[in-house]
Amino acid sequence: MESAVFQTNFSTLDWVIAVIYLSGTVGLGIWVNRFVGSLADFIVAGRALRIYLAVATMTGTEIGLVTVMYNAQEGFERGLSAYVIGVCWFIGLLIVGLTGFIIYRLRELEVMTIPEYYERRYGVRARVVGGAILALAGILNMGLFLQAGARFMTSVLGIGTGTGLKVLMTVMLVLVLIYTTLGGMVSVVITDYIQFVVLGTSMVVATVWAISHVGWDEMVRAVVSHRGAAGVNPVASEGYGWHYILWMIYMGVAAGSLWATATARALSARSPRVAQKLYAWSSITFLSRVVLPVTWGAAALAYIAARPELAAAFLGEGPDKLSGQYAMPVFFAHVFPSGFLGIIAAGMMAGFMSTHDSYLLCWASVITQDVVAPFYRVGPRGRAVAGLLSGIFGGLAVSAIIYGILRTAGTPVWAGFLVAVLGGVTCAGWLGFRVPQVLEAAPSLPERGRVILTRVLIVLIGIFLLIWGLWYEAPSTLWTYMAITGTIYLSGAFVCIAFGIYWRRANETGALIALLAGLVAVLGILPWKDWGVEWMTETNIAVVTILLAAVGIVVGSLVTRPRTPPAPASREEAA
Amino acid sequence: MEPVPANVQNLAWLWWLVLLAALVGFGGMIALCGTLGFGDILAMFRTLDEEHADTDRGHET
Repeated sequence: MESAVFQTNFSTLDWVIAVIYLSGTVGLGIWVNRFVGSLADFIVAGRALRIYLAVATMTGTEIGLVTVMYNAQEGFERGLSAYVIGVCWFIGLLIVGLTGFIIYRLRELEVMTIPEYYERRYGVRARVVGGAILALAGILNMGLFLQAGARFMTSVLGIGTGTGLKVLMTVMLVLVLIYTTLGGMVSVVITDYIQFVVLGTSMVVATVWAISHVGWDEMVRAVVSHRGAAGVNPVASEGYGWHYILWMIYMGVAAGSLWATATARALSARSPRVAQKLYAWSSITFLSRVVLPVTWGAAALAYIAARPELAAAFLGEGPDKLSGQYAMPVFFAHVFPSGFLGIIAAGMMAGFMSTHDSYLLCWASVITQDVVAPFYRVGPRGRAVAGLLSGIFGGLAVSAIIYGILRTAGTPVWAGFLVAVLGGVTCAGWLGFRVPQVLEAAPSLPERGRVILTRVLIVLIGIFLLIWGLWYEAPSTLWTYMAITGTIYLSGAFVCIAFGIYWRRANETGALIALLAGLVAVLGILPWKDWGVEWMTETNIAVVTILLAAVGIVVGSLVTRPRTPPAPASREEAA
Repeated sequence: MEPVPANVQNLAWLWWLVLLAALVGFGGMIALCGTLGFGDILAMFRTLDEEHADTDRGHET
């Protein structure tokens, strides 16, 4: 059955196009690095972005292989109802763009990262806790990127789901790790611009092509036939409903303004006014980045439903049923002609690499700069806390990696568990003992140490992506997984920054409660449905987490008296 | 395949308009920002080059 599904029009011509495109993009990225002269050039492109380039680069970053995969899966699984996600993003970004909410003040303050704002407004503890939660959420959020990317490539190349998938995931990871070590924000800006033009144009052409191949009326009929009225009406949809729509509008405002990789573009803008305009303009591209791939997913549903061998693989029941993530790339591989398929695949692969580049650098830098470095400024008690925390998290990470490797290699569960626990406890003990000593020995984390630590973290995150992608399957859809992991960070960050800017009484205790409340959203990645707990949906967990964080900062700030008067929200006030 | 009910058909029309808006809007943005964004790239390089030249002069003095 698999051979009928994974047929492809991908040919030698497509390989040539893909190799030229990828090597050209990477080469250009390396060449423009000569313009990088300072840390500000590296992180925020010297704050030199004008509006048109800012829109192009923000769109280039936010449209990648993973974006189209999760949106196409929504279109396949939930039909045209999934358009509502794009409409919510449009509304959310338009609100930010028209009012300048959060983003205008952040750009005015000239901060480079969100945790930097936490320290300036609340104190160093908020920076460390906020940085750790941001990194945790960000790494979990990109946990399935590699899996989704490899699924696209295996389908387009006609490789299938077996060993080829694992090999391709490893190859793609190695490519990404090499590419990441070469980058910086200036090169990311240029490669994102090319992405925007090439991938954007391909997306428009692919959408027109898909609709003309399947037919809009046929698509609607297939959606209604297989998904019912819920396939067109998001309020009636089992997976959506009003709670979900409100959550998505919140995501549009919160993630639009505070998701680290998008915020980086706004903080790179020439002025606060340009940063604000960037959001108003980007609302259109954020609508399109959802609506176009959702259309591909719905068109794939109509195409698959009309072919018995494909319908049996995707729409049947049983353990062999293929994930909806495969639907869109299989559809593309079947209907797009050679040549165009190569452009799409190369554009997607370049998008995959630039997304990983941005994300890996971002999360590794957050851990180095915002979690580890501040601990060099604390006293003996702070050093003991650092030892304890690094022991706990280091031990857990090592256990997870050992367990993942042993299980992938086919070791029995009990043996994998035993070795993982032994390895984890040993590592925890060593870190708990050694970290306070290292912190005491040096006055600050030296520049060389920061670079080495960032690179080690990039590799460790890469290994995590490989293992997580090999054994974890999202409980519902890929997008819902992304949204719930994003909520771990956004629920706390949104209120910390919004209240920090607009409410003078917000203090460190309130901020810490709000940030820690975000951890409740971790529950959303567990398979509650499989365990028979039907009401523990991602939407319910997300709504509760958002409310807890909001109540947490208000109550925490009001019931604890600040030791110092409210901190100034800007440099002018400080002066 | 069964015929599509009228209320569902109306919603489908709404989504058709959303799709058209997304296609036209995105196409327009690519044309506009793709063309004018190239000018912005050249301007950004000029700005960064001038900043580096200023920094170098500062080091020399």
